[in-house]
Amino acid sequence: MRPATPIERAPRGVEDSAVALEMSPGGGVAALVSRVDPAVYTSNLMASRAGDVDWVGPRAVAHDAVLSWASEIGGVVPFPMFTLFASADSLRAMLRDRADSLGKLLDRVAPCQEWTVRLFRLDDRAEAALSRTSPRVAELEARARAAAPGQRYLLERKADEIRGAELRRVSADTARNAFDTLSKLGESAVRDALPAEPPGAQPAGLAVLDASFLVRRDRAASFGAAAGDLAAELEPRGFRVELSGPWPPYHFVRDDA
Amino acid sequence: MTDDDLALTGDDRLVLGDLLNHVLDKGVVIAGDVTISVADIDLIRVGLGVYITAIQSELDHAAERAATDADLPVLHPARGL
Repeated sequence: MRPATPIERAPRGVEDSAVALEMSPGGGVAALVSRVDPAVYTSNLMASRAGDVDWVGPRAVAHDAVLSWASEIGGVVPFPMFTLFASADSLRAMLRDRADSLGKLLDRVAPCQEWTVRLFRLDDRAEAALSRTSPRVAELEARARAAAPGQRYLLERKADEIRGAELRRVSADTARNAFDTLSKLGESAVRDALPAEPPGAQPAGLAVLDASFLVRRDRAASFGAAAGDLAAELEPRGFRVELSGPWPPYHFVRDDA
Repeated sequence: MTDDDLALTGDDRLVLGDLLNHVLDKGVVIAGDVTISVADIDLIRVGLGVYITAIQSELDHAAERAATDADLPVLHPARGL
C-alpha cells in the first residue's frame, strides 16, 4: 500500500500482533507487516498445522481483517496468507525490486473492490424447469402431449433420456450468461475452477459458477443490484445466487488477472 | 490469547470456507527469501476439504429444515452491500 497510511488504526494482525509499515527504499510503496515468532512459524510446524482449519481459520480472519481495512482506506495489493520473510532486510529487498510493479498494481486496484458470485443448481427445481429452459425438452414434451398413446410413451422416454444432458447444458449456458452479464459491470473478472462434483443430491445446490469481479467502488451498488436481479431471474429456473464481498482484490493482482 | 480464544463458531464457521478460498493462494506470489512456500497451501486445502465437507453437511441439513418452512433465500450478501 502507499506509505501515507494511518497504521495506528490498523486492526491487530496474526497472533494478535501489532501491524507495522515497512517502507520501500524509494518510498513509493509500503508493506503491512506482522512479526511472528520464527521458532513457531517453521516449515515443520506449518506442515503439522496446515491441515488444521481451526488453527488456520483465526489467522485467516486476522489476515483478511488487516487487508480489508487497508483496502478501504487507500488500496492494497494482497499477498497470499503465510507469505513470510526471514528478515526485514529480505522484505526491503523485495520492496526495492518490485516497487514499480507493485505501485502500478496498486494504482489499478485501489479504486476497486472484489465481489464474488457463486451460482448453485438446485437439481429438483432445475430439472422441473427444463420444460421452460430447454427448447429440446419442451419440443419433445409438446409432441408427446399431441401424440397417440403408444408414440407418446416413446417420446416421453426420449425426453427423459436427454434431461441429464440438457440439465448440464442449461447449467453451462446459465453460468456463462451470468458471468458475461456481471463482467460488463466490472473492470476485470475471473472464473475459479469448480470443485469435483460430489456424489449424491446436494440440497444446498451444486456449484456451477464461482467467479470474482473487480468492481469500482462507485459501481458497487449497481453491481449488487445486478446480482439481485440475476438471483430473481434465475430462482424460477432452479438456480441460487450467492454474493459475497466486498473483498480486497485477492484475485486481481497477478499478471494473468 | 490462546487458540481457544480464537476458535470460530456459528456463522463465522460457515463463511470461513469462502474466506480461505480468497486468502490462501490468491495474491502476488514471490519467490526467494520467503520461508514458507505456497506449496504448503496444498496441505491446508486437504484440511479445508475435510472441514468444508463437515460444514456442507451442516448447511445441507439447515437447507432441508428451511425448505420445509419456506423458500430458500437466494441472495446472501455475506459482508453487506
